[in-house]
Amino acid sequence: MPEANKVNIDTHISSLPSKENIQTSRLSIIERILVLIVLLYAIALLLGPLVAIAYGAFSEGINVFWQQITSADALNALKLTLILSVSATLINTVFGLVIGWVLARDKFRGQRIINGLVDLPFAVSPIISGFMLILLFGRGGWFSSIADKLGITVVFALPGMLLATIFVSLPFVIREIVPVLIQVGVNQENAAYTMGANGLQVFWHITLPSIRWGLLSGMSLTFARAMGEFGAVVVVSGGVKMLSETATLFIYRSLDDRNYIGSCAMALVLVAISFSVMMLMEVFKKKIDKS
Amino acid sequence: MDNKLSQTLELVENMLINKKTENVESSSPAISVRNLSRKFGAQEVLSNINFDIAEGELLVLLGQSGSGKTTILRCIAGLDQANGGEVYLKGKSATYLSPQKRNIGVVFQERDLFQRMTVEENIGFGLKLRKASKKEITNIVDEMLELINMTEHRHKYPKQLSGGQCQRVALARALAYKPKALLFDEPFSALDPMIRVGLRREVRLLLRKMNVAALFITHDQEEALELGDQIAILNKGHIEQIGTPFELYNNPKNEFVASFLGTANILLGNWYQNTIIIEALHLKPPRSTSTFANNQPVKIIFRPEDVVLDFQPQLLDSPYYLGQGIVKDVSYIGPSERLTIQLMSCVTQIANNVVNPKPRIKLIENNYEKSFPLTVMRSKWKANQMRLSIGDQIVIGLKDYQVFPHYPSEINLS
Repeated sequence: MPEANKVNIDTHISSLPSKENIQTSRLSIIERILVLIVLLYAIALLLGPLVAIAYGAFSEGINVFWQQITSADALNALKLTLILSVSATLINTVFGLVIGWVLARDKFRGQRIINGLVDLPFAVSPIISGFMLILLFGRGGWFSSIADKLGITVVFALPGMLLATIFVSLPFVIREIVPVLIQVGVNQENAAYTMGANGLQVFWHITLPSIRWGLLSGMSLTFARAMGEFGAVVVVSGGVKMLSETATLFIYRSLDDRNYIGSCAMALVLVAISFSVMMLMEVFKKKIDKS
Repeated sequence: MDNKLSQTLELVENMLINKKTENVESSSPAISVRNLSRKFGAQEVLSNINFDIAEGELLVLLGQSGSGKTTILRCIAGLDQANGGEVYLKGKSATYLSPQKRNIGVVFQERDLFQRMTVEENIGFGLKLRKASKKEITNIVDEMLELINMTEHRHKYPKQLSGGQCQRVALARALAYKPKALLFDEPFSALDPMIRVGLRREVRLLLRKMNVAALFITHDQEEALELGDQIAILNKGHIEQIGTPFELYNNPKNEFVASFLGTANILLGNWYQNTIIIEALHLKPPRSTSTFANNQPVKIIFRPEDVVLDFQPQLLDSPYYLGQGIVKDVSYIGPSERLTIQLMSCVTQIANNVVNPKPRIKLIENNYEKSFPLTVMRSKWKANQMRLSIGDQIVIGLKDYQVFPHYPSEINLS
């Protein structure tokens, strides 16, 4: 009986033409216009260039597009980019886990400084980081003698490019896992220690599973950043085609050579790869929010 | 001669030696703490902590937040290193052992279950670390699930469980690998009061059944009284008193223990020729009181349930007469009635403690009041027999009380 009454009252109230009802419908029109403006902005800013690139890539037909993208330099550039991005991601993941762990779990002097240093790649222009590497490893640089003794050429070669890529994509894993590590807390880990687990077992069974979504999110950001790096790599590598030219450098050179199809084609491929990585990240983010 | 004889003698000797070491091990307390001290920078968090927990015994560490109880637990568990003193587990020194080598179980306050593992994976984790066979693990996990009544939840994740269920799983997880002892760090503080009470009784039964020694930390005195075989009261890093709940409640060593465990009414007086003089009042001391110097300030402490009330002095059935008073407040708290009575004799109050606020002793030099409130508790039968309401004038007597010396420079306990 009471339930029936409740339903009646609710439907009764909502059917009344109140002041609020009129105002809410007016507001929703304003809301809708605002949303529309934002959508247009997003479409223009984000989709616009995409559409332009796609158009440019296929403007002379699929065959030309395919020819450009499968040319020797293009393929080599893509290969180099992927090698650098994957390596940088793996290295930054391993070191990021260690550094993140130390930052989140330990207490020591200078912790804030290291925390700030982690963000250095954000503060420093990539061109400057490339330049720093040249200063350190180029002729007469501080580390050039060490590199020579080890028989490694750093500048204008793969090691230098790798270092540059690692540097610019360094902070992402750390920034993603530190808050999660702090939020998850030490209690689970302490419990595992008292149950007889050593450090490695705790890390593998307890810590890693608890930060996995943050970690994967950080890794995909790292990958995307590494893929898109230009400034640092162009300075350090010298951009020699077929030898030290990444995808982004290829695009730059193609523009210089007035090879619009080539540059648009490569750009489209890069965007496609980065976009799918970003979409993956959205999936991971959803999972983090859920937990 | 006799190879056989010497052999037999050797055999007997070995048997006796083995018996001895067996005895040492089985007679050693499960946990022993000696002279434990811990400093954080300049601050002394623990000083000179000593206690033993025998096999199967439950010791409750009772104290306010910041009194150092969690630090003691962490030192015993190996999660923290003491600055001085020793920790012994089953007679063997464990002070410098890492936590994984101590073989103890810990139940933390909250969120200590492995969130990415199911209930049964959580419980089996300790066994997995010890490389037990799959069959063994399944058997023990089944057993544990039965004990905590969670068999139907075995595939659930901690997120899907209630707080009480989580702590049950935490307990099972800690017991599964048969640790030497269990440590509890305020495991029920985050739970609903009703669930707390039920859970603490379950835990008590389980511990008794499995005969595991345990150290239980809490700031809830009701929990302490109900759970502990022994209770240790901790005050700012040192132990005030250790004893059974009965001992601590009825024979507190000082007023801190008296007011921490239960409510205590405290009056200040002077000792003179085997009488306690509280302004106009002369009290004869209870039998167990030691003698003090003449004119020495003393405190008398009594519990709310030690007070007897009546309308007429002649009918007052108590060996000690306190004086007249007026009922200021009456409240029914279930099985008993709590009254606030204003004592009319000119007495100096130094403290009136109720269960919730922190115990306080004011600077008595600054605080003379002509009358002040006592907390009195009566059973509901007594309350029905002799109804009292606000404003009633009654006489007050005491069934028993305790006397402690008073040192006038004492200030705020908090």
